[in-house]
Amino acid sequence: MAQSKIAVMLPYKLIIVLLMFLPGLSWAKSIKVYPGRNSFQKAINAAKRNDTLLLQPGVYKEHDILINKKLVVIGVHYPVIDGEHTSQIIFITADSVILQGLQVQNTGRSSMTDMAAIRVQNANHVIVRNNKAFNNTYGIYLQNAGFTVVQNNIIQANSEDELNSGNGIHAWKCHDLIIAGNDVSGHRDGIYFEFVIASAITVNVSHANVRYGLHFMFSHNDTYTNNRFSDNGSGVAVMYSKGVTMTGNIFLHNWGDAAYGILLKEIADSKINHNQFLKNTVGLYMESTTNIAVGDNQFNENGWGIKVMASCSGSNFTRNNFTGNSFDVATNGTTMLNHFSENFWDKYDGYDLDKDGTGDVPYYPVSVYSVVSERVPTAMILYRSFLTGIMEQVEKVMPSIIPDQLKDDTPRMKKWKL
Amino acid sequence: MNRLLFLTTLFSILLLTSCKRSFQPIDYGKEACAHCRMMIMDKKFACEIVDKKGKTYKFDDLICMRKFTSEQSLQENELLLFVAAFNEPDKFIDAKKAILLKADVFKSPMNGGLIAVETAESAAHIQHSVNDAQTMAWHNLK
Repeated sequence: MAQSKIAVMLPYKLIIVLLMFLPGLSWAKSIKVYPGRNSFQKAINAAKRNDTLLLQPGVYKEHDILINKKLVVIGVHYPVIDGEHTSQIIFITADSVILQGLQVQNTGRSSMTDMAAIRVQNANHVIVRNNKAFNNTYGIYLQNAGFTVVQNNIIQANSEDELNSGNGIHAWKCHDLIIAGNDVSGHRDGIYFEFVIASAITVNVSHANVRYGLHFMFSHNDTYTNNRFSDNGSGVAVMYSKGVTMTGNIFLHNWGDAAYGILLKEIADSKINHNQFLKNTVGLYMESTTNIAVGDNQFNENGWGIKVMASCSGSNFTRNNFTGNSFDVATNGTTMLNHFSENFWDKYDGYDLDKDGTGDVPYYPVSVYSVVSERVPTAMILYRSFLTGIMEQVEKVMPSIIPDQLKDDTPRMKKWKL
Repeated sequence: MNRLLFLTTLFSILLLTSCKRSFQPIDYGKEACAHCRMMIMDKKFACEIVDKKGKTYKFDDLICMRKFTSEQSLQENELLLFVAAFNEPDKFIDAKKAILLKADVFKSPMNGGLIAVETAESAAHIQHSVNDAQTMAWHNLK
């Protein structure tokens, strides 16, 4: 009887006794760090793995700070790490480092090395969050990083030397990144991906960057959702990649001669859904793309809604709204290997006698003048003149210039509620 | 008579200026590369083609200019090819005569990793700091 009682109690007691030892097993300490000559680096050198450094408020004039062991670095009320325009500021080379709550500013500038405020190099599972990076050449630079999170950072640069500036968040040869909730402005490219796979870019705001809000190069199977890209030099560029999903983004106000909401160049097997293209020179520019699904998007008040070059093939454009664009679609050839269906076009003046919500005659979204201006760009001077009005009407009766394969056989009579 | 002289000089000046094939400055941050469509931003890697009619094509990377000439099968002896000198990027030099250096550390916009310099001296100077930079020339570039 007594024996069986012990046998029942033993597991509980054992667990409780083990739990009592637990605080003693982990030796992690919290260490307060105060401003002083190289005090940050000295604190890192003195700290042990798993320690937490609490940086107290103040200005730390340090650069080339190396975090080479697993530490948690927390800034209390945004202590300032000032590189004084000399060099790079923080290097993270160990796995599982957490860096948060710092204000990192004033990196150096160089034509050979990319000077970064926070550089994560050859490390995995790093978290960089809630930091401020001001006036740096590169803000956060990820190099050979994996499973790394860059979250809720504010990254700003002044664009006085705009031609030599670097990117806000720069990722090179990385995998499985999460870039979320950051605000990036005044850099060359807001977010730059090169050879980055299986990563997500969500709810960021990228605005007033000199070149692109977001720039993809050779990066496959990435997703970017619910971001806002506005007033960038030339919008967003997605190039030489495949398997990119672009959903729920807003592309706003990218004006200029070579400015686009999205520029797609050599992209395959990708999706563009539920985005808004508002007030861009060209909403969506496509060149040499294959198999892109463009659906449920709003193209509103753009110069050109979509420019799809003759080198594109196998793309479907369905259920999009085209409203208030000067030109809905433009192309540079007569062959058209892409398919348009069920879009709403505000310029459609057909009829729907059987009342099924679909127009009974096809809509030709490429206007004659967009063909003319594609061949002779300066002809744009005569846009909206009496002559072009006549040309439009003649073309409607006897189509000869517009590519007749590019048409929507099932245009919607009512705007999609998206 | 005087007036006639004036008109002929004016006319000949106009004629001369209009027919001159020459380098056209690049408006950085405004103009797009003729091959990859990216905005030309980095002065160190910019290049330009002037064709026999005087039409210009601008590029952000030597590799773009190379691909453009081969894809469009342009006759290179009819073209003027310019490339920015890496050490003094505001100066454009003849790409056919330039010494090209290739290394991964030259982070050119399209990953060509190519830069151009005018003299063997400056090439040696760069190779001093970038050891693995290979010397190349435009005609053996693929």
